[in-house]
Amino acid sequence: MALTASLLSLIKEEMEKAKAEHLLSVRIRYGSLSNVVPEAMEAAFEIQTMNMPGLQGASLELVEELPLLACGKCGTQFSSENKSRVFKPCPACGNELGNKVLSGKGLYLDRIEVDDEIG
Amino acid sequence: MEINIQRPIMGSVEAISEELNRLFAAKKILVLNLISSPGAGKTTLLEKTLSDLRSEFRMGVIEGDLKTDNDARRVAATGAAAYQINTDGGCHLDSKMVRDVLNHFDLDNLDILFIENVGNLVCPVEFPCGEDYKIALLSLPEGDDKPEKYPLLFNLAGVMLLNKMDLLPYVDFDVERAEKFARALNSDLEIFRISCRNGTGLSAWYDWLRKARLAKL
Repeated sequence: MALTASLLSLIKEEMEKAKAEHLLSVRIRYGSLSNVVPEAMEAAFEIQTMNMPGLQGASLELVEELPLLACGKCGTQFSSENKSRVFKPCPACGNELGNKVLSGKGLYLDRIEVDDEIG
Repeated sequence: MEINIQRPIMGSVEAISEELNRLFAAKKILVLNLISSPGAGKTTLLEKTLSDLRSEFRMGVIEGDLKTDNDARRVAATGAAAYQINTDGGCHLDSKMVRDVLNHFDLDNLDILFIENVGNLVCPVEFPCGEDYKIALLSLPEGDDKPEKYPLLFNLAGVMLLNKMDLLPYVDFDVERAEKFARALNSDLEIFRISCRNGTGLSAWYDWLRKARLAKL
């Protein structure tokens, strides 16, 4: 809920900058290690935009980014294939502990699609 | 028309958090953001720490809770400065809320500020509060799979405290397993096994606090 409220204020700010009146779609990128629950965010987005003129009915697309890790021993960079298995040993040397998370924690507003007028 | 944006969604909270980092650095205050599930023992840990170290440090606490000021009254009983934020249903504290209550503290006469976040292993992790470290508190009855299930907290935390060690004979908690997973994605994590009930391990935690505070001078 709170993340979605921050997202909406960011969208409104960007729409004002672009002098856009009508939001058609939003795309956000989130890392598998961020605590975003896509279903919850979709529901929160729908509820919070329901009574907002210019924003209601906009679609939300969520793109997941898998975490990129670097081995703590040999430095090999590797990615985990899915979010339920982020604790993966290094494919090159098998090191399990002390791997660094290079990316996969962030949450970004990627792009929005807008119209000049409420259609 | 498509507009490319590429902005972090938590941008303003992060900017205020950085502003607080600078303020606390200038005032030489060590700031710790305490995160755990409800009932893991955050308030008890604070009560112990505040009373055991009262002659050594000037300490303050910002308490975050959905309702009531019970926790603020508990920690204030130790003589520390305490202020309660009622989030009124909100699941976490953030840098804005912390900034708004700093006027209740004498920042020129403070060595350590504890932020006791709302009991929740998910949301508080996403919202920085201007802290030097997040402290993850995990109690044995919660289960040894928590670092696996909530990787972000254990990845970002500077310290993991395993609390209620006195219950080890009565619960199925594999300490090695919990520590292994917590360390898997965070090689810098400091881990202390403690019991606030019988005092086990607290001196190591206090030594860490002394070291961390010294680093701010």
